[in-house]
Amino acid sequence: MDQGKISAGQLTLLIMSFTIGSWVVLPTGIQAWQNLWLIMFMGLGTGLLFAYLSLFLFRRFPGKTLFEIHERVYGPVLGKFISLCFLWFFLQTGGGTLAIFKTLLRSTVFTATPDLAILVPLILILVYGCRRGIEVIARSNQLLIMSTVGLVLVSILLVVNIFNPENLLPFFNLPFSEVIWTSISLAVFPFGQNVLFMMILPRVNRWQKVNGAVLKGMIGAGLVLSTIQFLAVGVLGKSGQILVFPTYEFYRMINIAQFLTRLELIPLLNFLTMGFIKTILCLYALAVGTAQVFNLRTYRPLALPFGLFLLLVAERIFPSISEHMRYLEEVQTFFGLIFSLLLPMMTLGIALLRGLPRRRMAP
Amino acid sequence: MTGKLQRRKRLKKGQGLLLLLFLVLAGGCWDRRELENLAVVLGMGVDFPAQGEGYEVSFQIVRASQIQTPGSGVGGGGGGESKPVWLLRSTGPTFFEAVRNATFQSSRRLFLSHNQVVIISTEVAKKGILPALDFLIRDPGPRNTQWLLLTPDDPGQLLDAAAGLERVSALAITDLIQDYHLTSKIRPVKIGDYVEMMMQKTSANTLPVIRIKENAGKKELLLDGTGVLKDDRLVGFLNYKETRGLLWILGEVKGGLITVDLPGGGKATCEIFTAATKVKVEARADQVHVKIEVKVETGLGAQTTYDDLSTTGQLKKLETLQGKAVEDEIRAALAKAKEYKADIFGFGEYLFKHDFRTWQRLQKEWERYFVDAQVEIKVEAKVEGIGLVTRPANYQAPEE
Amino acid sequence: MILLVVGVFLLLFLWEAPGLVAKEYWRELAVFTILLLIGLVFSLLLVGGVELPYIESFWIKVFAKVGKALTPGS
Repeated sequence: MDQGKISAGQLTLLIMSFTIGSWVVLPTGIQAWQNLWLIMFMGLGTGLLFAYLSLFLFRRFPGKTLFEIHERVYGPVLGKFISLCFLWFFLQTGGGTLAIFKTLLRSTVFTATPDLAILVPLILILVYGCRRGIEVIARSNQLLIMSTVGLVLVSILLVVNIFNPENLLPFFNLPFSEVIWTSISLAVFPFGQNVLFMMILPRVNRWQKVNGAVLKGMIGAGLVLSTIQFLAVGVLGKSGQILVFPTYEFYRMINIAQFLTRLELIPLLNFLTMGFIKTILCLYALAVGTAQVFNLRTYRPLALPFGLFLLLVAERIFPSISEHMRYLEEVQTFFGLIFSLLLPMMTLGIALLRGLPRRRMAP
Repeated sequence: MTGKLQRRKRLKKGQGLLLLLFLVLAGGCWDRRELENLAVVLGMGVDFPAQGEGYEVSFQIVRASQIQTPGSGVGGGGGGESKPVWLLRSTGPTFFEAVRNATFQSSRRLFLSHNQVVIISTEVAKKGILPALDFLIRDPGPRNTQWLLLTPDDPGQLLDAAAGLERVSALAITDLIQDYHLTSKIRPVKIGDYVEMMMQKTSANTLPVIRIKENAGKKELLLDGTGVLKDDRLVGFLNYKETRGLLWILGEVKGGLITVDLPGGGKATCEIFTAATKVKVEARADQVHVKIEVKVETGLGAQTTYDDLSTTGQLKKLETLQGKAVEDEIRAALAKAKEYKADIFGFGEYLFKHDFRTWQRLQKEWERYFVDAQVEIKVEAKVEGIGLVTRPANYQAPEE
Repeated sequence: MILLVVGVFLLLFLWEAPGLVAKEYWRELAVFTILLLIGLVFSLLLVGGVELPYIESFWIKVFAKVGKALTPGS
């Protein structure tokens, strides 16, 4: 098993990257476009509730991954089955992220590059990074998330001349039910997918600090996403609603004195690295999780086959981006709720009913 | 010691991962295109073909080698050979097809990312602009900062017209459009603005009009007023005066001249230094009330009488006259827009943004509310400068 | 094409397996091999032109059915 340890600070940054992940290029809740940056905070609040439920579970079983908790709470057979469901969830999340970034690259800059030419090198790097362990992932993430945050801060300055505050009006022109629905769907995606970190929390060197780190990470990610959304609405206005990749388009609009233009490649690559971290964490969770389900001594040989699975999933997850948008609108929220709320809640409930853990375990 | 060494080693590994990540970008070379294999398009014109369906698109393509040596073509140039641009016409059932069909004639693939202007014939505009231009919005190549213009003439011939002092007419048009602030009688519109306006249900769009002017047998360009598009279709035109009125209401007057008739005969022209507009839209008891407040500061630039206009009393009179003139322009624009039933001023959008509930109530019949709208105009004009002289040289003060 | 895919998978297997054998990680080798075989089967199906269902399209159908079942009377 991976013996590497990460610090609470590194966990915070990983959570930020993971949450920013693919939402930043393909926002959900587009029907609330103008108010999305405000509803983001409601989604964040709800998402934090979900996260604290899972964290409560973790604190009852410190040092255990979600899959180990499953086996203790449900017994070996049912526990392994539920873990397998989660493995599917991780696989779909990772494959979906790959597919979104593949689509983004294919429809913007790499229009003639075949899918495999983008995906195969990416998968090889993912597998390599995953085998190196969580420490290396966390360390490379530090630089990537810093540059993303830096980019967002710089873009505030870059859009002053094209930012029209009038575009933000009117606030709250939505029916109340739609606001609630959008905030729940935001709580599930991007924030709810953080349930994956239940596989990584035991790798944090001081488990007492985990709660604070998760809180900081999710709030940080919420701030970044809300800022980008805020700027995008101010720059694009209502027409952002008909765009497939509004964030990319928003960076295309930047034009400082006819000189500083066509900057869209920089954020594109930057967000690509966020997707990369998200996918690599999915791959890591898949490999480690499977190793735990089958009681293996090392997860490393599993990185390669799961990398292949991610490739297959990315190829077969949606036939077109419009099908994916339909999925996000109709299914994603329900599907995600099962994994980020219902299953952890059930596990916690049964653990409490059975009075687990019986003996106090060493952290 | 070893711990530190190990940590350094691990750090290197983390960096290795980053370096590898950037390898992915090598995939971009798949679609590599070199400059010498591209036909860089700077201007495009859209029209219906003489026969058959679809669109006829004209492309103004730069001959890169001609642009790089601007001095070479001056001494006679050797006929059509030295022309820095090449006009290509291509037809297809859609805009995209027309672009691709251009490769039947062009040895190089068309490169649209640097395109500056798109000129649409009024025929196409009457049938709807978005269906024609969807490709330009959907494709990642062309930018949404391209200028959109209408023309009653053939767009191809227009692009082929003499560019005046410039070598490429598309660039000349770009400059003409961007100099709008010298007169404020033209309203430039980008593709992105056009689409944004279309997202607003109650608003109507405008586009500048350009046409060919024959001058001593040579074809030259002329910006000429504004076209009004309701629901994406051309419904009418505004002249210079009405366009200025539109710009006053939109708060987009950035400069220009105001000429007024003086009571004692003759005219006085003032230059606009600054202008600011405040619009307020309210809906009371089934009628929309619009308040337009314009503040404008000008300076006397020319007069055609022998009177002394520089005294404070005379300047006051001039200010009132100017206020009247501005109000006149605004009234003219309002009358035309109401005639076309086209909310080109964004009154509905103002309600949408500031009073969403009322907008929801009125939006279905906005056309009716717009036509019936009560408009109150207040213009505050100030003459601040009088140039370098006070009175005309031969001015004699009237004896009392 | 099929030969190429099989060749790639064989290469991946030969790259990973010797290390596991040397350490006598038999369980690991078994899981690795099974996963790789599953991957091989799906890759061959894809290369062979079999129309596998799209994952998200599948979920859309499933959830539409569940939704219908949960809202009686419609």
